[in-house]
Amino acid sequence: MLATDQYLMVGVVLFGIGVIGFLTRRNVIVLLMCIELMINGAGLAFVSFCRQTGSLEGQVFVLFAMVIAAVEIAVALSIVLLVFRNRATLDVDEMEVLKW
Amino acid sequence: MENLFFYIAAILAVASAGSVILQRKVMYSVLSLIVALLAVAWMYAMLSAPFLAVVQVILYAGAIMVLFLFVVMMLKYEKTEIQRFRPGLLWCMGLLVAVFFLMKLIYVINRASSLTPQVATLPPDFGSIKSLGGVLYTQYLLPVELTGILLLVAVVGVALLSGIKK
Amino acid sequence: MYLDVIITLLKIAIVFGFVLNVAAILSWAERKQSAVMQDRIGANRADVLGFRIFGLFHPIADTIKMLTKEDWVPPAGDAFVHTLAPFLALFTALVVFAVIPFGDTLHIAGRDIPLQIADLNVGILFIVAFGGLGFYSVVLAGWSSENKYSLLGSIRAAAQLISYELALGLSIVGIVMAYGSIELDDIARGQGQYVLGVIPYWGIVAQPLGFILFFTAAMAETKRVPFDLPESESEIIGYFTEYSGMKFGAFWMGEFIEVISVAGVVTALYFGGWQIPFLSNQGVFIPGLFTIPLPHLLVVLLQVSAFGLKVLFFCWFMLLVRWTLPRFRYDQLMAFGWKFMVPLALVNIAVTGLIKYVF
Repeated sequence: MLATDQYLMVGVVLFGIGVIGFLTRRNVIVLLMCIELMINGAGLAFVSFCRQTGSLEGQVFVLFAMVIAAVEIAVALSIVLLVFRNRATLDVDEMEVLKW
Repeated sequence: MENLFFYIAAILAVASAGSVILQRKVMYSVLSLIVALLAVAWMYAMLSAPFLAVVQVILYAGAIMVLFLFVVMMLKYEKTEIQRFRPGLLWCMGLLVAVFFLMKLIYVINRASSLTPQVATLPPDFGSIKSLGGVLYTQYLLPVELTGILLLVAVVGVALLSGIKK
Repeated sequence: MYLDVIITLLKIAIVFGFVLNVAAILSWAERKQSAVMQDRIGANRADVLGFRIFGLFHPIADTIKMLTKEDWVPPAGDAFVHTLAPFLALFTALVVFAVIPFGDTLHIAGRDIPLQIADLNVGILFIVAFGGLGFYSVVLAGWSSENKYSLLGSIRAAAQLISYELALGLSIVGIVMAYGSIELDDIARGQGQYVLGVIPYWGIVAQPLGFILFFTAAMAETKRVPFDLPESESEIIGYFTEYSGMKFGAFWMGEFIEVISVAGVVTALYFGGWQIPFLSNQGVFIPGLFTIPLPHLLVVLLQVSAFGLKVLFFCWFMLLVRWTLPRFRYDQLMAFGWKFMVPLALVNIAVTGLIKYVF
């Protein structure tokens, strides 16, 4: 059996790529995808700790995280569609009506 | 053998995750993310979580990415394909913060994984639908019900958001 | 170790050989069947050295034609995605067979060989997961063609596939409850029991409503008449309008492979899989009366060929349905899926649970 810390490292790298993308990209759809990457990185960490300790709790949390991700994306994308309909942009730097 | 499979999955996951944030076309980002999610599902299967792996494919690749695909298909938006990163200083700061955060995370994970050095021996049906269902519907019954309510709220919310008639 | 790999490769070769050949023959059978039902003669023109054998050379002629046609990519479209989509269609249709058991465990030379390519402990969920990915081939084909009508066709297809996937998944829950397992070989083995000693406890006996729901939803997933709104070759233009040559052929083959995979899943879940009534591992028996012993190899051979025959029967049955029913209107299709199939599937689950609880 492979040591689980290699899986952990993959999870960290996925999370890191997600963070980098989230802070540097402009397109709001790509930002949402980066959030998905981060959730998956965290999930990988959960599951590898699960494998290491032999308890099922982590897998349960990952299941909940998936459901929450589905909910979040459904709501977020419909908001994105509304914003696009009103302002014709997907650029996060142009969504600044609330900025004073 | 198992090492080989792990490295294929890991390289696939990391490369396609990188491709998500580097692609110019949003559609290609979506496709790369699907590959990354499938690679993560593969790793779940190798970490003796077969049910999670399948749910990952059904839920992420089969449902969530479908929403992304729909939105990308519906919106003809060419602007970010030319300037995909945020302008100037914001870009640099974002990268710096992210890299700092990544370093911190690697440090923490290294500490944590050295705490329990041995890998536990698992029962044969570990992570199967039966064992996971047993935990979900006894110990975590309340969270499961709450998640159901959350889904209902989301359905109502999305219907309200996207069904507005002018 | 190496022997295991070779055995697995052999199983893959057998299954894929069966599936791909039947898919080719189905393209011929469909023409002949439609001809019979419309009182025509049907395809019989392709001849090799004067031999026509009922037009059986037509699949070969079709393949040669498609391989030699121009492979055209829309210049405004996306070449990479445009090429990817047909391969996805083939892949998702074929991968389903990896978990369908086509025979009981074969005991030969001291080895136990399960006649199933991959015995995964997630079983049916694998079929749902990878069958669901077929969605992408449709949507990507429509998007990458850069053609409004293709895009509309793919959106119709996407809505249809998502709606009927729900009914499909819910109708499977009933069979999982009835046999108490999610693994396909367990379900197939469970169908070897008998109700009242004489009626084989097949899925159709345990779940009659579930079978009808599953079969209908699965036919909607294959995108054939009466659910062929995504394609509708003749008038409203579907998602693969911009495809030519073998890429079109891949979609076309993929559709036939989907037909076979639906037939395979229906057989494995509802029609006893490889089981033949009154044939067990010991031999032929009449319950309570006598048993005629048969050699193990013969039994396995009989069971595998029974599975093949059942699959062929359902393929033929779907051809019959295709040439009998007219197409749904789009709103009828959606209303049927959401307001009829899904509630019925939920009722089916509730009733199954109740029966399980009472008995």
